[in-house]
Amino acid sequence: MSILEESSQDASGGESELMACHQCDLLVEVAELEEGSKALCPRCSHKLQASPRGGVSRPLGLSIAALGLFGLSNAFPFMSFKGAGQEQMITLCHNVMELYRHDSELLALTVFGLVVVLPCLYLVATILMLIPMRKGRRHPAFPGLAKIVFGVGPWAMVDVFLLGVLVSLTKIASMAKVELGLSFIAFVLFAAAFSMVVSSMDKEWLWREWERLETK
Amino acid sequence: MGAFGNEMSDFGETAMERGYAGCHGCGNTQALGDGECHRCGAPLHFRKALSIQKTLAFLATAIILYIPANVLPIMHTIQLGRSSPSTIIGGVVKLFEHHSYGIAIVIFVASVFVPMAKMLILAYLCMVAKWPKLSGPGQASLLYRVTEIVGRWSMIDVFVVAVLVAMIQLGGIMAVEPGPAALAFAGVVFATMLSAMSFDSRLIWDSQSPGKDKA
Repeated sequence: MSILEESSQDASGGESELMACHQCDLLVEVAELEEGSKALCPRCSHKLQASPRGGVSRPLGLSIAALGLFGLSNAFPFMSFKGAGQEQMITLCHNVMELYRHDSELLALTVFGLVVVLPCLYLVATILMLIPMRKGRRHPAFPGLAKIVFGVGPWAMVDVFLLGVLVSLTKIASMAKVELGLSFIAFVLFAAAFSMVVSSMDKEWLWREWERLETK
Repeated sequence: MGAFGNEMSDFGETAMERGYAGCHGCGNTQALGDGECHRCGAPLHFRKALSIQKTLAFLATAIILYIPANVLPIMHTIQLGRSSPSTIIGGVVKLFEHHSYGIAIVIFVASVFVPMAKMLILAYLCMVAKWPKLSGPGQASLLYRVTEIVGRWSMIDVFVVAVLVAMIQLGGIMAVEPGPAALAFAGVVFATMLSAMSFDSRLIWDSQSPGKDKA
């Protein structure tokens, strides 16, 4: 008990925190991390905490960029497909609507949820959560938003969808001519930004930063 | 670490031995107390309740769904009025025949190898948690981490079907329609992900608890 109390009383910089490894339950003393470094469990090498380069500003900026890019990727044609004298042009939402039209409502909902709803929810919650943090305020909405962000995280499959699009493109390319639209480029950039947000949002680090705000 | 003295082994002690629990909601480590995290309010426990049972229940769901996912067609290709169904494995074989080895390997790994490996690993991990002598905890831990990271990529095939259905709609000349296996396969991916999330990897290490044999 004494170690825990000591670390919470010592509010000045350079404090260390006693932490249980999520993977093997070993008690490890984690010193304050420098930006861009991470702490690994000495027993099972699971990541204990990671602090991204640029601090809170990094995921915040990337989330705003990602949301903008997502908007762009819905505004223009995603790709067009020419074959047998006909041309077919689709947008991102078209994708889901076409599934819906083929009586695959559940499949349409699954794809729509994993690629559109959950990623957007993730980004909006991230932005709402990080703006007060960046201003140095300890906002009471943080715990709820953190729950959304880290609960939704593994189910937002933007990167997987992009690989799926690439695979289907190569499949179609053997049958007909495929042209990539402006939206496709926007979507690739969106997926890249989104993955960077996810990789810089470390739960333990964020909670520790948030808790520290109160003492300021 | 010499600082701990002789009575402890190399790594000190676990949180549970000290009466502490690490919160799953926010990572805060504290005395178990009334079972609620004082930082984020999430329920606090030493080990996830009924972890093995939940893991096995989701695993059984995944195995059951895996059968229709492979037996039923994942999509129908309609060409000049003739409809030909294709299953997951059938699709991989066809890609190989067309010499698209790269995509064939991607689809094979994502849709056949990863889900199978994941289900086997989860079953194996449950066994390791029950009978610790089966495997070293380091190795089992690594398997678990890989399973957690790789699992979601199995969704590729479902997305491929979704994109093909949207793209290829040229009336009677050529069209692609989704098959029932697509949804079943999405179910397999969900169930294996939930199964991996329910598994408490600390159970693998409990038999090794650094302070256990000393106390």
